[in-house]
Amino acid sequence: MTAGKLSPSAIQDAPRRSMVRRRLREGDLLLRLVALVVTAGALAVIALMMFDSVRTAWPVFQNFGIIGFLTGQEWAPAFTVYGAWPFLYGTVLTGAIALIIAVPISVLIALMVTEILPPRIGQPVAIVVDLLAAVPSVVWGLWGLLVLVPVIRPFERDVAHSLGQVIPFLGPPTPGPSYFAAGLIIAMMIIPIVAAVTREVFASTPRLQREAVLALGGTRWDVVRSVVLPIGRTGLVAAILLGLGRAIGETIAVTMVVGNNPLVGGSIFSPGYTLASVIANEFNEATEPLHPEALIALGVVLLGLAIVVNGAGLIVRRRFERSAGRGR
Amino acid sequence: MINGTRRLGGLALAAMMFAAACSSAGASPTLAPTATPAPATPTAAMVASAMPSVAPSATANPVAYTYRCSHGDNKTLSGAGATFPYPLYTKWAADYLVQCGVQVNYQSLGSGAGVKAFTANTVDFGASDAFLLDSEIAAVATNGTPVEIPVAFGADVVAYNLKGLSAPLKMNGDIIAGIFDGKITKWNDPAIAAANPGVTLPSTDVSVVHRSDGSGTTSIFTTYLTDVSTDWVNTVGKGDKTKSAGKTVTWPVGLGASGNEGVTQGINQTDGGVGYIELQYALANKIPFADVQNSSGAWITPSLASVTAAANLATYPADLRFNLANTPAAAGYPISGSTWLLAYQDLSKVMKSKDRANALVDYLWWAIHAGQAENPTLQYASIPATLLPLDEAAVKSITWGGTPLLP
Repeated sequence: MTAGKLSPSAIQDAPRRSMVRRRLREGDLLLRLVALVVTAGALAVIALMMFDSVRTAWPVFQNFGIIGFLTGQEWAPAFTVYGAWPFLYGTVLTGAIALIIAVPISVLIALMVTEILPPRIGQPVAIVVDLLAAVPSVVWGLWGLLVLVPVIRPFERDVAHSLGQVIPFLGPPTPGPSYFAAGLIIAMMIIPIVAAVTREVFASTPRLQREAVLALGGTRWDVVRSVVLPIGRTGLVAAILLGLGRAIGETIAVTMVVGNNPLVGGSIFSPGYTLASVIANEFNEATEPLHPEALIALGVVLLGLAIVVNGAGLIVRRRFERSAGRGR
Repeated sequence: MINGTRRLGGLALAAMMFAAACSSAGASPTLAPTATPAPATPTAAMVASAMPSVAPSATANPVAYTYRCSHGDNKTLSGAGATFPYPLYTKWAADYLVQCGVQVNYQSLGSGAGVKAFTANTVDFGASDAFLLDSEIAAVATNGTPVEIPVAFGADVVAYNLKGLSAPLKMNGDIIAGIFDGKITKWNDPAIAAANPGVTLPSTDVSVVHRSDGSGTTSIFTTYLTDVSTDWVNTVGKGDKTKSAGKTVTWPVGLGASGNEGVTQGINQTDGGVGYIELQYALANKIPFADVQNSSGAWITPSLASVTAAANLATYPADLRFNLANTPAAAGYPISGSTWLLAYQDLSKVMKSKDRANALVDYLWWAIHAGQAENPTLQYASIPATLLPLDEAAVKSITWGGTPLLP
């Protein structure tokens, strides 16, 4: 907490100080220059990418209309009919399933590590959870296809034949690979990311406030409920956004378990498709007229979706920050 | 927060290094020499006289031939295209490097990208699982006439998961079309029963798995179905034959899976599952598949021999653009296909140096002879005897401003 204070010797030694300052200024200039170039470069790459994708995809938007393309239900390259809806729907649905599963689990893991376990045990547990983030996507996908799908198929079938009789959204048929399977895999992939960020957020809760609650006779649960969660809310949103970003862009693992069916499935157990998957699947051999352009157009839609998600996250964060400011 | 991110980064880096180490370790054994290294004599004057034939490898093709090893301008050649023959072309490249000292870089981008690269002349040769369409030939007119050389053959098998069958099921075109266009939904369908007398078929549901990625495998399969079944054409192509065959079609039923391994898993995990996979993949992984009735009425077990037989036609079109679907060959397996190497007839129009042109024709000549010895070891069918002279003529037709490059 003493950052920014100059040491006494530096104040006494004036000439040496100015030299230091000059050197600092030069370093400052260099840093600024390098940072400017790098940042501008990054922005330029993004701008160029957007410009070029939109330009390449333009014939598709022209042909079907932007709204027509987004809401188009049919994807039939052989007939030069391209609609993005089945993929947009699949991306949003699998992302939502992933978040519903991953966020509570991640928050609980973070709480366990920061609030419940002693640091001696908590640290190793955290490292093991982080290790999951290092598992390559293709390994998740293969594991999902070979291990997870056969395991969850009976569960899918049971749900579809009980609950699914009342709620069509959980109904049959259940071939195995599905929106649900994809959501589950994505959830496992984003848990380490969301948990790591959430953990750091929770760990940075001011000690004084924790102790204040404990001093008032509060329990651990009271600390979590009245201090850790409210203060960490903004950080939690950031963690969820990070996870969602990974979820909607995840490609290989999803491709292996989502069923790759370019139709809007009526149930979460139906085989479906996502934006990233169809691009990965079809781009290599896209030879039909407008087919490559349509796939790039899906890329533009994916980019748009990412912007919408991040924008929404920003708004939620702002609101939290404002309400937190009022509360204090 | 910083701590957490840094740790994640470190782990990711470690994983990457691990992966890199593994892949390099896996790749090195393929460089093991299979033949005596060729004498390195890269001279431009090699056009006139053929070099003495290099000592062939232990598995060399018995056909007598001679081949040269022109090194071109920098001892490299580049190609791009089909993914289906990628393992074969990689093996060829490794052999050719040992035998001739020329490095052949092949990028398996997919047939579509291969044709694009060939059209844009960014590679020395292209590769495609489909012959060039008339429109594609017109598009490359500024580069001259393309030469299309079929070099390897593959097939699709109909693999299935049915318990308790002792012998392979028999299927004809109508049955396969019925299964994949959704008309046949039970395994004890009368059509299947009629083709398999004496076999007790279960009443299990048929669950279809097809490829989700654009693939030459799908192209071979749908071209066959389009050829044998009007029902397939009407259901999938809405009556248009150009729309019911191709690398991606609009599947009326089934689950999409990525790659041969994805389809195989889809089949294995579902009782009653059925799908099409590459013959080489099925052979390597010992998956049960059906015998298919060909155009002469014979029931053919898919094998390298029956695929080579399928490609052994009585006559071929002069430009070697032929389709093996539903082959007329009596012993041929009907769901077969070819893969082509693409080059230009007059290389003086597309290449900077004659040396490079020589290097390319030498490689092509090598590929249709010595290279063929590798085909069966990698589960590709070789060029049949009747086709080889035509392939040779195609390679010899390549010139430098009208002067043949090969003697």
